[in-house]
Amino acid sequence: MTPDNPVVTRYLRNLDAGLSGLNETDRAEAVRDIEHHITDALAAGEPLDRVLTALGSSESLARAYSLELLLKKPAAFTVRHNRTLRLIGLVLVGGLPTLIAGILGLVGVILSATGVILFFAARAALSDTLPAFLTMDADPHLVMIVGPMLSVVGLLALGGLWLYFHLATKVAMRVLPPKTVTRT
Amino acid sequence: MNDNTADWSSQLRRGVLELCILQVLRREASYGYEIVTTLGTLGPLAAGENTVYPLLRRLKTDGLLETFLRDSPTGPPRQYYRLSPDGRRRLGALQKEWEAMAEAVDQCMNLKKENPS
Repeated sequence: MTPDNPVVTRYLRNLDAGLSGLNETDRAEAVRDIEHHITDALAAGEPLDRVLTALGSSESLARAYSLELLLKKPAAFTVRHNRTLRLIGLVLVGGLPTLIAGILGLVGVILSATGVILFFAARAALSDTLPAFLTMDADPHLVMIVGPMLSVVGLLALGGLWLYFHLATKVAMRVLPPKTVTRT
Repeated sequence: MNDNTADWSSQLRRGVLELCILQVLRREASYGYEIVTTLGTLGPLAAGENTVYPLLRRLKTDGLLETFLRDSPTGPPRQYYRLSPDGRRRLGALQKEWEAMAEAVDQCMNLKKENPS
């Protein structure tokens, strides 16, 4: 039973236009609130002109919404504190990335190197050129296969490390707003 | 009431209105018109539509209120407001704050009375 009244329609349309600075949800729900308010007030027997006078002009109502929703906190203060808080958070959770990067790097280097060494050691064992101080208990053929497989796992870990650095840099850039903003 | 008094009074009301809206919604959900008319009966605290509706919206964006639609006998489904768990905590905190403040103001007034000369 929304009043099919040109005055009300124009009022709501002007209000909607005045709220263009708000996000979609706020804007739609604000207009809905006012539309329902008019419907309810009319149903309660209030005359339309008094209802609209009490609401104030659509421009001043839109301004009241904008003031309440957009200017509630001084921006500089919030941004500066956000920056500090986020920096502290970043340092706190930084322990985990260091652990991940350390493990990936260590596993990557050790496995890659071990794989190569095993491969050449196995080849030496097969051609009986293995230095006298070394002995190979396992089947050299098997070692020749396992060696490269270890290297592949090691290289994958190093690839993971590279990808991780890439992502971490991106996240860090996004989390920390540019410092110049704090001066506004 | 001169202009300065009106200004002071409106600043005071602005701060307290948030507490009153949360308090109105403490027991049950309500919709805009009902909230406005309830607050309109509160004498010096009476706030106009152009204060209450924007404030309702801000409390919603701050996560203190939630909205939902419920059928109405007079028209399209109404948009209702209710306290969120955060809103309930906030109400408790504001109540404590208000009581402490009122007590302090009371003491302050009595100081004046005790030193008339």
